[in-house]
Formats: sequence, structure tokens, C-alpha cells
Amino acid sequence: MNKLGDGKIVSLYWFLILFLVAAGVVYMVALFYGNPYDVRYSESRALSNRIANCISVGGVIEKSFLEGEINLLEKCNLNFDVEESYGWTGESEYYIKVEIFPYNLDTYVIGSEITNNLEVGNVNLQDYCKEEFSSSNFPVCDERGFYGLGDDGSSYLVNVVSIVRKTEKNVQ
Amino acid sequence: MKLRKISRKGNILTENLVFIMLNLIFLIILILFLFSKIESTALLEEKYAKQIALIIDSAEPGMIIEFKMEEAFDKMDKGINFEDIVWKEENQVHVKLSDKGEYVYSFFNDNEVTINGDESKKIYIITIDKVGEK
Repeated sequence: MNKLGDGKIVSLYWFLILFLVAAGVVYMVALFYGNPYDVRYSESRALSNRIANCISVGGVIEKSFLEGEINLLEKCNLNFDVEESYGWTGESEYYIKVEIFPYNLDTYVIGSEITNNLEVGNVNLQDYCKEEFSSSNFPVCDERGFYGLGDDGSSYLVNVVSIVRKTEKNVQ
Repeated sequence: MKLRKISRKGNILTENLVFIMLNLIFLIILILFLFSKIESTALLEEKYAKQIALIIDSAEPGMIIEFKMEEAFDKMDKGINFEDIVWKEENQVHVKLSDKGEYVYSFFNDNEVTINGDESKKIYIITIDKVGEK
């Protein structure tokens, strides 16, 4: 083989390598910029905070939460309607559950739940709080609790579970 | 013999030039692709829509929030007014920086929300009021 022929083979090899490098760069850029921003964790935290602020003002739990069934959406000024995309309007993309337990400050014993049926949204989402669904491909679950006092000075433990789905707009 | 030598040298030079040109074209295409992805308005629309939705979700009645949108001002299409790039419909934030499309993201805060642009300061002012208070 002459020198000119060798040069052509080297050029072909060179372009092959260039294409491989370019394909790698394009793939990585597409992967990085193609992924949507995942804001569901912040959203679920904001939802939990809103519920907590609604239940307790200055550490005192509002009486209506301890007494009977209330509409969480109305009470806490929430709107769970979402944009009409990905067939989202069928089932809610949110779920909230509030559990209130009496808490004895002397014995540190948590009593049985005061059943007020304080939940709203898509009930099917509550399974996603289990550990096996902790991957980002699943709905995001935020479980938090705080202590509060009743009007009569009795203490309570309040658990707030808030779940945000919106998977299609936050995960590729 | 002499003539043949000259033409071979000419071939080598042309081949090298073509080779360099092809490499340059290849690199330019790659860089253009990278910039088109980085400078994409679609990405910016998504970022702004989600940020504004999160701000509204975390806000309490009585708050007035000034949201800087200088990047949007620099990158929006020429035919679009700054005051028209962000708006609210029911409980959804819409952001539109180009004629190609818009990005919509919903928020759960059901208080009275108003969004107004101020082109001179390149900001958007988000006001949260209690329902029926405004």
C-alpha cells in the first residue's frame, strides 16, 4: 500500500473517532438538558407547610380540626385542579392526609388517632410513601409531624402526609 | 516526471484542506448544537413557570413578591412584549418566550393571585391576597 492510501485510512479512522466523540457529547447534552426540572419535593414541602400553618396558629391547633370532618381544600385555601395535559384531569395529582393523636406530656405516650377523616386528593397515591417507591420515577411523598396544643391546653401530635405526583412534567 | 510530481503535491494539499475543512464543519455543527440546547427558550420557560408556581405555593396572603426576569428579557423573541410573557389562568402559570409554544404549570394555592410585569425594571410582581379581599 502506498503512502496516499495509508493517509485515507487514517482520515476515515479519524472521522470515525470524531463521530463517536460527537455522539457521546450529543447524548450527554440531550440527557442533561432533556430532563425536566424536578420540583415535586419542594412542592410537597410547601404543601405540608401550608397544611401545618392552616391547622396550627402560634402552636394552637384550631378547634375545628379536633372536632369534626372538615373540607381541607376549603379550609386551607387549596385548589387541586391541574393543567389538561397527560390526561391529568382524571385523577388528582395530589394527596394530603392529616392524622391527629392525643399526646401525654408526662408519660410521652401517644394515644389513638382522633378520626376526623382529614384527607383529600387521590387516595391511590398513599402507597407511594413506602420505602420501595423512593425512586424519582414515583410520586414524591413528604411525611412530617409537629406538636400542638388544644384550646384547653391538652397536647397533640399532628402528622401531615403530602404527596405530589406530576411525574410526566418532572421526570423524563 | 516533473509535471507529475507537482500535481501529486497539489493533491496532497487539497486533501489536507478538505480534511481540515471537514473537521472544522464538524466542530462548528457540534458547537451550534450545544449552544442551541443551552440557549433554548423552552428550557427557560419551564424554569420560570415552575419557579413562579413554587413561589405562589409558598406565599401567604398579603405578600408582594418581586421576581427578576432579566434572562427572559434578553432571550425572548422580538415580537413578544415583556408584559405578555407570564400570565395566570385559574391556578396555572403560563410562560411564553417564543412563538413556538408555552409552558404551563399548576399551583395549589387558591388565594387571589395577580401577576404583573414591569419592563423598566425587568421584573414581575406577584401579589397574593385572600379570596374576596381584592
